[in-house]
Amino acid sequence: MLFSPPARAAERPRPRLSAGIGRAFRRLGWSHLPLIFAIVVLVGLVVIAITIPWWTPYDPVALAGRRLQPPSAAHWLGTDALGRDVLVRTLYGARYSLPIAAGVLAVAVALGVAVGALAGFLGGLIDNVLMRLADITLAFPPVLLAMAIAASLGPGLVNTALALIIVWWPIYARLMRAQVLNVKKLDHVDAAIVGGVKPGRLLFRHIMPLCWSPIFVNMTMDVGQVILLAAGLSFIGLGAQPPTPEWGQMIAEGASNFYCWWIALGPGMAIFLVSLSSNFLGDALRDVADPRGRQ
Amino acid sequence: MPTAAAIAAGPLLDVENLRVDFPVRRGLVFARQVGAISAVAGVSLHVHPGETLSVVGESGCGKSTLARAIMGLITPTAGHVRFRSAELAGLSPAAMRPYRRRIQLVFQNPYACLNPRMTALENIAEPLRMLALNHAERRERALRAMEQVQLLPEQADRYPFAFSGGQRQRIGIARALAVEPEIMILDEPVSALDVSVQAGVLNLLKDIQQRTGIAYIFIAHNLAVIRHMSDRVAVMYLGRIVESAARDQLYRAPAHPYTQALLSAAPIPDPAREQARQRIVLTGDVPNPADRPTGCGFRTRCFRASALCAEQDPPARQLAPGHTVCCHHPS
Amino acid sequence: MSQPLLDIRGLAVTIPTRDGERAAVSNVDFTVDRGEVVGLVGESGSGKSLSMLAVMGLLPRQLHVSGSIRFDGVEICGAPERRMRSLRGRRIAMVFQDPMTALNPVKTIGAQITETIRLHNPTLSRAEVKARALALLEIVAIPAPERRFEQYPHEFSGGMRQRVVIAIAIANDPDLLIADEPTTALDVTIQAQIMEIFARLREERGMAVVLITHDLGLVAGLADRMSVLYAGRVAERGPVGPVFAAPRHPYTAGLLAAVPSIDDVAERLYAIPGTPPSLGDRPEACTFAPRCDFAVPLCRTSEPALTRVGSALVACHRAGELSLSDLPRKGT
Repeated sequence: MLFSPPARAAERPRPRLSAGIGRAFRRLGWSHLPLIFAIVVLVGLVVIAITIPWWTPYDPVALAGRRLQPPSAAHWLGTDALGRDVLVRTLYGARYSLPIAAGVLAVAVALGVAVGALAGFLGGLIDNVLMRLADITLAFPPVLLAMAIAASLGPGLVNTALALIIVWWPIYARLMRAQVLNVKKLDHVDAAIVGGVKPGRLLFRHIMPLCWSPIFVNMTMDVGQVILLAAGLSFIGLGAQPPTPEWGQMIAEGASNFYCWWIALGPGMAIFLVSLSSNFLGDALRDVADPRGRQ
Repeated sequence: MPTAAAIAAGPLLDVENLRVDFPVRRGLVFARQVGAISAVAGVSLHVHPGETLSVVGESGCGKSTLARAIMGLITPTAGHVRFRSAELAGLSPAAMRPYRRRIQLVFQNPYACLNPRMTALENIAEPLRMLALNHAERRERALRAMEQVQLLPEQADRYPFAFSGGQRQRIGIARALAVEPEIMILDEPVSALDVSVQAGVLNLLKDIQQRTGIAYIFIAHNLAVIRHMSDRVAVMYLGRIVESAARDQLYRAPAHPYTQALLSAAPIPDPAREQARQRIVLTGDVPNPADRPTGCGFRTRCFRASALCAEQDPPARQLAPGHTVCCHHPS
Repeated sequence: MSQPLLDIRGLAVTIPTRDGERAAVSNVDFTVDRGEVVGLVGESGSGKSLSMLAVMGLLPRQLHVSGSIRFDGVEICGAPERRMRSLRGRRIAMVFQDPMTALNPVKTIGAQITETIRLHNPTLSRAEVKARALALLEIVAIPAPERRFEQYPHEFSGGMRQRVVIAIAIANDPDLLIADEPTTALDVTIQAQIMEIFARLREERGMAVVLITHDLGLVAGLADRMSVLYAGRVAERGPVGPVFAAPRHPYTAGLLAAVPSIDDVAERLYAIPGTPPSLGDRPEACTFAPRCDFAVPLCRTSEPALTRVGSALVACHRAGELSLSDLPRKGT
């Protein structure tokens, strides 16, 4: 939780995490197969991304065999136009796409939540200014805006991430503001005011703890979206530059060798699996977070 | 009951001509204020130390808004709220804070009034932050408050969802009680509870008053509950107090036709009397406060209304010491 | 006496939970005669609404209903949905607590009433249907029915909406009207108006009414007989007069003593200790025993059967021996 003050363990006994996960599974019943799929894919990719340098059979940016080989026992997904192994490059791609998604979302959510919470809590002029700013950003088509920003900052992964953050924060600002406005109306917030609770504590302890679940759900769903858009920017040449094995960049290379279908298959499948998994995860989280399922 | 000395010392809380207007806006882009709804349209009342003043009225009569305006949760449009002659109306949240430990509020809905992410004890301890206490002292006082409302110490670290409605209402009362206020406003404290649980909470409130000498403003719609709890009763209709009197006086000789109708409409759990009873059944509904009738607000449903009632708003008149009524034709 | 209009025997409703099937209603017997008003009293979770929803065949599929429900001599428990549909609205109708959600917000009041009339009388002409709808609005005392006919639910106050709901319920002159907390969401003065409508329906049309409520005062005013439900079982049932005058079940007596009186002042109220048991926590013994001031060891081991005491049926082991007229006003 980004804005919670440091917890004092003695004062705040929390339900054990393991118990929470067990309860979550029971609540989901046997419709939890997609969730297991999502967890396997995402955890698997993270593990691969971290460990791949120790066990990779080929260098992702060096010649591994003949050019444009179709899939074979030695190269499961074939080789690309420069003779690099597509599978190895795809797996290495997780080292770029996943951190970008995580980084972009972390910063965008932090920024969006801070802006949204302030706007919703304080209201008035501050609310108006902050939200009009968000509206303006949201009014541009996201791909175009990201393109414009990335183009003006210059190509590169870090600039891509910056562009994505600028595109994404207003979504979370709006979401958080709506949540804060809803929670602010609840009786227990009035009770806290009557109890003399000061504004800061009111926001952090009485309002924000009840605002998180849609944010988390949205975040998991957005992992796939961010990867997609990042890949899209790379595809049109604004993101990662060759020879980086980034998925969108790889698909762009595949497009220039259109008849060698295997070059784009690896990164394409990877993007597809990650987006699907993140959607599954988001759906499952929403079921758990649904207050009607509580108690 | 307040002592004679307490009454002589002057009221604890004195509300004078309090108004709360909600603006009515029209227009989508450039909203203009086109009118106002007077939820509370000039209410005066006072409470002495140790006394229970009940406010009775139907939904929409403004009784909850009145409570919130006294507590400073809504800024009143006009009028005064004086606590021991200090003006509270219009104070900023920061300026209001010192008074919060002396006036507390108990909410109607026991399911919504507790922070679901805090334990029972944390909820109760929250207002204690106003006092200069350390963590251990706060915990100790919160536990004492729990004991006062007959909750067990082993329940302290449970979260609100683990409690029943009646228990949650006790937690809400304990939270208000923990700072040892001089007056507590109770906004429909038992109307969300089951009958068998209500009695326990009502007994508890009476016990607390006897023990601590706290004053209550008890807001409710159930006349039997009010008779049980009050020293004095104020009847509210369409944002105004239409009749107020000492409890027995009001129940023995109600003068306002609305009070009479309310009393006659309240169901009595006794078949013989209930079925033999002559009822005053009012016609129609409470008018929309945005569209208040001319003259007396009650005249559209009143069985004694005359031409005068449409022309002139009846002023408050005193029928007996402490018994006032706003009606052209009191009986 | 002829057979009752509604005759429920051994009704049980079980709810599937994480820990298996739990009985929310068990072994409930209940009868309603023609033209009779029966009060069904209980607190939240007592099973009063569930048992009447079972009569209407409106329970969700996961809930299991067993026992016998005979309506006008015909068994309807477990009847196919098509049969129930032809009964509902035409012979049995139901009014729910919340008039705010019972109406379709995008259709006029008139359209909603005429729709119900037409559903069961497809041969009536447009004019006849409208005349009947207007007559219904008059029965439920809605002023200016011609004008109201064209209005939408949001233009009606809560009390007015509940009248419309009642008008729709009685549109086809049902034999039995089930009213589930019909006035709980309404004000006292409006409540009095609605109760008057029920009384008139019984007198003028001979309609039988089941009044589900937690308010003993309403039962006292309108009902001929009453059943008190506690934790899914009948605690006591009988004619209203004797039950109020001399309750035989400690729970009934406790409820009566827990309500403050409007015309005299007691220093303390009798408070039934504890809270009603949750669904998963209902012993095979007397369900009220844990809260009962009069419980003996037998109460904690065996479930009392309904036995006749005077004119009432009481499910209490000590029903005959207890004198409950003066409950101790102690405890909180």
